[in-house]
Amino acid sequence: MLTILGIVIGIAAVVTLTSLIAGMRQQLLSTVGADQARLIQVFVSFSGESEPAFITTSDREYLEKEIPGVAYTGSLTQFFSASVSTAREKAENTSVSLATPGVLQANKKSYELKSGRYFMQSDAENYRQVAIIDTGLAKELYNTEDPDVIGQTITIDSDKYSIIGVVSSPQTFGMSAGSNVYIPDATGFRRYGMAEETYAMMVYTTPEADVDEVKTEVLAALHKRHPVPNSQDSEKSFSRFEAMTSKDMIAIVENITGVFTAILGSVASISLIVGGIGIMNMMLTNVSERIREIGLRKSVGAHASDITNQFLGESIVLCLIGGVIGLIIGYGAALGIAAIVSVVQPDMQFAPIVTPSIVAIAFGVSTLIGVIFGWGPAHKAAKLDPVESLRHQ
Amino acid sequence: MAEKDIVIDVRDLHRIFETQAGSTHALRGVSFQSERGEFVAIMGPSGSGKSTLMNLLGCLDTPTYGQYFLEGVDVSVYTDDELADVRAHRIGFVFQSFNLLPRTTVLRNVMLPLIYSKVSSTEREERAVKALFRAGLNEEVFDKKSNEISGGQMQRVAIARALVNNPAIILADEPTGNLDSKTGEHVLNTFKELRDQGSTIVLITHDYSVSQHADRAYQIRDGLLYEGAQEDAIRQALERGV
Repeated sequence: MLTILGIVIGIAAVVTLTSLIAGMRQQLLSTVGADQARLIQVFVSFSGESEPAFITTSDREYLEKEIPGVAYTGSLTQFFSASVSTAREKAENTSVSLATPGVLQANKKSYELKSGRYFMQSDAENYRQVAIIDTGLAKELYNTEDPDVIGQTITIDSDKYSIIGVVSSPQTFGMSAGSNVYIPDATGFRRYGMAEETYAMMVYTTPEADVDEVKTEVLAALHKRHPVPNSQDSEKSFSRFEAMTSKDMIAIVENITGVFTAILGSVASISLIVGGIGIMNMMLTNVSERIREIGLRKSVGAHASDITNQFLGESIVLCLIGGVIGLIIGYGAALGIAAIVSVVQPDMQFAPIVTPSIVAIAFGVSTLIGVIFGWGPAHKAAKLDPVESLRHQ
Repeated sequence: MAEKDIVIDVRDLHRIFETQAGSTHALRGVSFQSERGEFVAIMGPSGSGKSTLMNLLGCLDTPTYGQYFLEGVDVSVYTDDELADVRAHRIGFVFQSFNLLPRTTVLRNVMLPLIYSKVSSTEREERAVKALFRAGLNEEVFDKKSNEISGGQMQRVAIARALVNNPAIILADEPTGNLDSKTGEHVLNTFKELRDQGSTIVLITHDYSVSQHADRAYQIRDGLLYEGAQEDAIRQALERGV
């Protein structure tokens, strides 16, 4: 058993890491991908190649009107941090975000309405001082995530707002993003004397539209509406805005987790090499102890290849046993780690996943180790002279 | 006159071993024949070349010069794999120290050669059982491990293993060397029974009394073969001026 310990540890390490990463990846994808298939996130580029151009309310209205594939546009941009208070409690460093009516409900999986209502168009048109708080802020102000506070007043800096709704706290990459309050964008622009423009916008396509095509059209339209001043170079204009679909975000997540898996898998593989060397030593000892048996087998008709296959087979079986044990221990360890993480960080719940490819890799690697490190001893056994072997004491 | 059925036909066999200390001419031109159903003994002291001769007869080794015809086929020019096939199908070995696999049952020990002669798994057990009966063993021992039975039983298992492929020859190297005289007598009687059933047996021994059980005896000394018992062989050697 000690001989296969290296294989067990190596496979267990690889399985633990890859199953944790696969589980985290699944969790990330579920938060990124959830009802986001038709979403295009558009950002103002601050790359410095040209002056930044902000996205205006007029831009959004243009896109909704002129591009058939655009169903809805809105922005949800964090504006500043402020202290938010009730008569009794105060929450410092609360994020205040300006929200276009419709944008929270378009993302209702992330901003699930717990009570009250979302913003309506009339809230913005009439510049109402109404606010939606999230459950994180609710806990800070009212000591419960589910308070009965619709109609109550909060003060954001020195301004009074009436609470019209409570939404769930948004999760970013599986982690909650602190305390938030949302006010209608038009209300915010007017209150703080700002132009009606933002640095980010969400575009939702119609169900039948091709998201990538709409992305191209949106960018083209924005660049046309915001050419670089005093410049004939159209390419310069094309750097003023960037857009990302959910496919693009998934690709980024896949890339990051793929790199992690490769790096950590390589490191864990070192223990497999050490394990393989242990197997080789054990097999060499095995051959030495079984010289007479090898001679006997040859005397009853075993070819050199039969002897090679026998010892190679034994090496592979040993490594596969180690692989199976490592797979079980690795998955168990991953479950344990995920459980510990969920206790320490309750917002980060995920289940490790052992995919068929992880199982295949575990078996494949075990077999390969058995072949590579078993080959030398098997070959040595095959080459033994039968006469000398039979004489061996 | 019936044509002889020659199973072993050895012609002027030489075997020279090259070592760091020099070369050793272990066999210096050995020739003899053996018919089917004969029990032949080859006697000689340690260092006489009898083990070398047995290894050549058993196709465990190839001669430096000379020819060895086994059932009419010249096996002295065979490759290693061809020799392994000859050993699998046409030769059975019985060793002094039995050479059974220790943690393996009697039945599985006897089935071992059948793996390499590519007999199907369904047929293996049947043939092994028949061979064990022929060697004088009963079912009680079949499932016992080889280290759970007596020396005499172990040698009978070895004989069964040697028989299981219905070989052309059975080569026995000092088969009674590790047995008491009574058990050894039983084993030699078993060989005679097998001879009566048509097996060809070549027995290597240093013991004159053992060689007397055979139909014919040869004496090997200093790499040369002399026909007859010990006294005859010495006389022949003196006549040849050796």
